[in-house]
Amino acid sequence: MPETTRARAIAEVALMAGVIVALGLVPPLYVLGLPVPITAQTLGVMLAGAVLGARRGALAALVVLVLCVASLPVMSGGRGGLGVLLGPTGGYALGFVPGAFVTGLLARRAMALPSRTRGLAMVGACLVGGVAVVYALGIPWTAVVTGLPLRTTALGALVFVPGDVLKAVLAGTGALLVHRQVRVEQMRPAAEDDLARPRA
Amino acid sequence: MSLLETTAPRPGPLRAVGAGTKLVALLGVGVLVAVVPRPAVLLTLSGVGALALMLARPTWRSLARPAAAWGLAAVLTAGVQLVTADVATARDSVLRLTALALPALAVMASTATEELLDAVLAAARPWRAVGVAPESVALTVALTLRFVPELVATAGRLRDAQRARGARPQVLALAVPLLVHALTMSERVAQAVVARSFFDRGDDRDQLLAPDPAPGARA
Repeated sequence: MPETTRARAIAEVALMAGVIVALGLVPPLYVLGLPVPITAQTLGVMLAGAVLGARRGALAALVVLVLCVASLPVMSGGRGGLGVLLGPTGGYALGFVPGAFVTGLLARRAMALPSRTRGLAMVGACLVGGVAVVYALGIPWTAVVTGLPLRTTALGALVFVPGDVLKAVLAGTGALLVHRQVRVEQMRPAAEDDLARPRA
Repeated sequence: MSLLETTAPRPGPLRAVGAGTKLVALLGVGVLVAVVPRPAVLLTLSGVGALALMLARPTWRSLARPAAAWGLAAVLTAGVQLVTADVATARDSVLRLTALALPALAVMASTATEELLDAVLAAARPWRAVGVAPESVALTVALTLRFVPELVATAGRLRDAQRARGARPQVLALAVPLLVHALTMSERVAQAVVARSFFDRGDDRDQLLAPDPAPGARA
């Protein structure tokens, strides 16, 4: 791999990991029209996959988990430590990596679609990767750690689904806005289109 | 702000144990709790964890927040189990959480952040054979640590700008500019890395960072 490609990959992964951490550390944010603020870290994970692609998006999420294991306050609300990953909600954090990966896989395919369907496909990518995959890991993990029946933890998780679905819609929309402004080579569709301007 | 400004652990018997050893032991505790969740095992693990925590001689202020999070999880879980099951099941659930929480708190209290980072990065070395370059892993982590404070500050400025316009801070109005800023910065950071001849020119294995293959193409 050429040096410049390698260096750019490292920089993209590192800075995306930084964005995921930063979105977890800022206080909850509002969505237009809704009175209840939402936390933005999982939004950052979906954006990582949707903007950088499967591998680099997943690596960015992995870097965040590495820093969490090192007891740094990088998880939402300034939490950190291996205890966070071993705790009842640790599965959701561990799900960041496969979630970003799946989001990236599907987002890459979405980018190759015509513009009239691209937006919906991108939101779909974030829903599958950022919600379904993360919950698929998080719910059983909570059941194992707490000893609660799987059904109970699944029902308990339902409370958070509307907020996370909303985040997936925002992430899909946001990813396309980012792609319009910044050229991310590995996400370029095979055919050139008017989607993004060249890098600044 | 620096992410590395954490409380230094106090000297004690647990300080002498390597960070890697403690992390592996903690993972082992996690596996045991998942695979053999019998009350006797959970009680033993909780006892060992409590002993480890005492040996770690923690500064209780640094543990207050994570301990409170575990405590809340235990109370909520016990409450649900008491309502949906019985006292014995609630007791076992609480024991599971204490068996995980106490050793985790002991490791946090007895290990410096730098040591934990070194241990995690050392774990990347055996993976060189499959295309993971440990120096790339270390550089990526170091760059993240370096830029998190700047990105948090940028996010703060974006929030302030929104408030100055009389609006409540909006998700997309913060996330998108932050991401664009980060990606634009990554180009300059990449140039700086190349300019410093960071990579060994003879070693171009780094398959993990390779671009994703095009859909339908072979990897």
